[in-house]
Amino acid sequence: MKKVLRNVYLYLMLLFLYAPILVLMVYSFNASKSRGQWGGFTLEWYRRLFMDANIQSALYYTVMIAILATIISTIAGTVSSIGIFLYGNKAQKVMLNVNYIPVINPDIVTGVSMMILFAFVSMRQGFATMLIAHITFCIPYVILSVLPKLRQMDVNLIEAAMDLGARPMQIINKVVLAEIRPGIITGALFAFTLSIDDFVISFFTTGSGVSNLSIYVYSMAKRGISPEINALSTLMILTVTLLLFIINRRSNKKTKTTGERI
Amino acid sequence: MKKTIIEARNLYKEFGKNAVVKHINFTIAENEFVTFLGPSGCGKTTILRMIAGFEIPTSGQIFLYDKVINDIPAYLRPLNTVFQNYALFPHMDVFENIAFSMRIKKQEAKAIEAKVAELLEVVNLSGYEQRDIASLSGGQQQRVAIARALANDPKVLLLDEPLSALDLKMRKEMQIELKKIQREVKKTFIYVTHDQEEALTLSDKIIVLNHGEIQQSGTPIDIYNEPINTFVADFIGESNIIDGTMTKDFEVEFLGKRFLCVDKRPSLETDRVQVVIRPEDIEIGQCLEHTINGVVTSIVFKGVHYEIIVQCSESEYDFMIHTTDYHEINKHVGLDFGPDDIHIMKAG
Amino acid sequence: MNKNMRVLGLPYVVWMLIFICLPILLLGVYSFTDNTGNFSLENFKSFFTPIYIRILLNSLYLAFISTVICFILGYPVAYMIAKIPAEKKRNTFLLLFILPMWMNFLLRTYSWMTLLGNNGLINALLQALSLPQLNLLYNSGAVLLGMVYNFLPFMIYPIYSILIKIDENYITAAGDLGANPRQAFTKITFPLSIPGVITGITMVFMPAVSTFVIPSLLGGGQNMLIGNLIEQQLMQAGNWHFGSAASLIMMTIILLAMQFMNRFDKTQQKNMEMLA
Ligand SMILES: Nc1ncnc2c1ncn2[C@@H]1O[C@H](COP(=O)(O)OP(=O)(O)O)[C@@H](O)[C@H]1O
Ligand SMILES: [Mg+2]
Repeated sequence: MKKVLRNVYLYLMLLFLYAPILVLMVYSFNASKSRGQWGGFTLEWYRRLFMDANIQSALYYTVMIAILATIISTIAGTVSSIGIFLYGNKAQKVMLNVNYIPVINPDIVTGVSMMILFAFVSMRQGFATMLIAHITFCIPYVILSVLPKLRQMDVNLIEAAMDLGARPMQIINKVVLAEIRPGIITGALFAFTLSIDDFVISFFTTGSGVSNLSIYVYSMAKRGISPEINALSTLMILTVTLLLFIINRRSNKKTKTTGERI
Repeated sequence: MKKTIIEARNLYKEFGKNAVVKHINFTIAENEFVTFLGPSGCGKTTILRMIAGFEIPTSGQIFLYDKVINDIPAYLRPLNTVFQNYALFPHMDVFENIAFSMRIKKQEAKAIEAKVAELLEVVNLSGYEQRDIASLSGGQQQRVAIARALANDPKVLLLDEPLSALDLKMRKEMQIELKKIQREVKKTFIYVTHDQEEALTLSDKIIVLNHGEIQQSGTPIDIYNEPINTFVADFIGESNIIDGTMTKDFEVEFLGKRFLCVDKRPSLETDRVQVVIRPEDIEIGQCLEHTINGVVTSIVFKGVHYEIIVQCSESEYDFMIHTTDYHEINKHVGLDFGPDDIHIMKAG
Repeated sequence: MNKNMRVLGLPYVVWMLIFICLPILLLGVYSFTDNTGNFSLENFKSFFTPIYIRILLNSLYLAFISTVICFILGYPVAYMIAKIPAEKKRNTFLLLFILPMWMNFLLRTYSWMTLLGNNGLINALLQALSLPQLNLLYNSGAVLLGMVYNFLPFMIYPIYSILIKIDENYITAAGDLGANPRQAFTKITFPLSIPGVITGITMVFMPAVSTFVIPSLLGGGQNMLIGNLIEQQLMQAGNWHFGSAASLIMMTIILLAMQFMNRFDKTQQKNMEMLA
């Protein structure tokens, strides 16, 4: 009896979480444009989507920024983590506190303050400013993923490598990077998902006709619901779900074969 | 006389204001098995780490042959370390761990393979090449760590309490194994431990440390038989330490009786000394004129022998005696020992 | 690796100074200056007038209510999932509940428009049943719903993470000592789960206070919150100084709220890192 109640509650909550998304997806195949009626199945909205130059450009910027921001922030974050790791307690604490600001600050404050910065240095807002903003909010997450791995690492491993003749750079390449790899991968995944998902900070730091998908959806959604947006949303949601599914499978396999945790 | 390979001159190390190694001097000869022995916190690891190059001496020099190596970074020193927790690289298999230093030196694949095989043979792990580190037992990991440290043909192998993570049985086995390996590879081993029995079993030479100072150095037999002070005597094995006075050359008085001994009267301003008698050197017998007489207050079976406490009648001093004979509690007994069982040390 | 390699951290220190510290500093400078660049408290003075105070209070009120609702709905979910004995089933449920965290926030908000809108599903159903149409969208209720919907997983996950770590033996021990299940919950499980609750509250309250997307899409123009005010001042009115002051005030309130929550529990930052 208790179990039934539990299941009813959990499934109700899941219904609450997923119903709107499912309805939206179903509507994206609805031939009737207005009203809630079902006008038959169609792929028309998807066809229009792929013809729409604005959406193509938004998709291009979204992916481009996400890839660049992920690569740059993963590398920069990893290298910085090693640097930060080597500092004494006090300096480390200060650096980490500053690093933590973009994590705890509301996105809108981060966005607005960066917008002011770009105006202050008279930098025209567009692709570059948006990329800088994305890198700025991604690096902290990379550091927060990598640094704990560095701290968990057995210091004797570093000394052992040194003892066996490895120079500082070789130690990093051959031992440290291998040890902290799970942290780097987690950091990169964070960076990618955060970047591809971001709306608020992008909204304040872009310009010159550069929009990502989120900004595009927002500007359309403000005018009310539209079947094209339904179609676009469906694709975006499916992509993220698929991506998560792959990541999950990958890490499960890893856990099984080597016991390594991601 | 063997050639000196490592020498420390006036070696001093402090962390902040805390002096940990205090102006010590020692020499270590080629192919010697030398052990730094001392209680935890006395600075053993710090000395070893200075030799390895992980710690820079505050002052003083460390020589390798006749070259000062203070400023040579660890990766350029021809010395290798076996770490207490092994520090095997978890992301590499046994082969890659052992091959690490040779890969760093960019040696040929063939040569590396041959060397790894040879080393695995030395440590008795042939066929374990592809095994995951996590799948090995503590003892096996220990052997891999030794093989890895030997891969570079170091002039000296440094071992910091390498057996402390093993259980007793494994530890005994590895002691024998280690000695065997050392003879086989003919290298200098510098060993650190707080276990006096391990030190006595393994070493050619023992350097006893306390509070960052060398108390005594010498062969295990010297140190055991002729401890230079009460610290060494006590640390090396449980001992009876009694205050006494030298009455003349080869005669010492303690507990109200005079005994013959093998030491001369020291040319010091005072005749006060301390007398060390090992528990296993005392014989329990009848109360006689020349024996120290007392009462058995406790007897505990220790596996091989009994540990008996005899309280001396006159001074209430408790003697500890190791013997295979059984003596009842409250029995009146006499304690007997020969002149060479009496070790004289200056009073602490 | 040695101390010399600390230099690897320096470029990022410079980056942080330029792109994290300087912007916030500029935000401060803008807040305390007027259009001509002179020092002025005018921005704050005009903020503390009834219209804007009402906007601020309304934001705090809605964020508070949505946090409470998220807690009431989310705690049982976290508890029930944590109590599922079969690991596979438990993980599946957990995944289903946190999956929405990874879906675009904007799309999730938008999806309610397809349900609540005048052309939306609910009104279509009402019409089909010949019932009167309802104005479901563009009111505070819709905003609240959007907040709860969006942030609920952020309440569930931290609470679950703590609950799952609580040693079953505590509960068994409590039972052994005569506590009934309900007492075991109120005296053992719930107190031990407080750190997760605190993290959850922070993770719901903070974005709820600052959001401008939810009120903008679901609340229409009338339901302005502080986030909308900031957005409007910067993007439409072009009054950056006033917008900065509003941002600064909001940031301060949020940081104070976090500080206050931190008092409750020191492990909270750790949890955030764990979640992050
Ligand atoms: N890196 C360090 N910083 C400060 N103090 C240290 C450091 N390493 C060792 N010490 C101190 O030096 C003393 C000797 O340590 P150690 O050489 O490890 O002793 P042992 O190996 O004989 O147990 C200890 O009191 C220890 O606390
Ligand atoms: Mg030590």
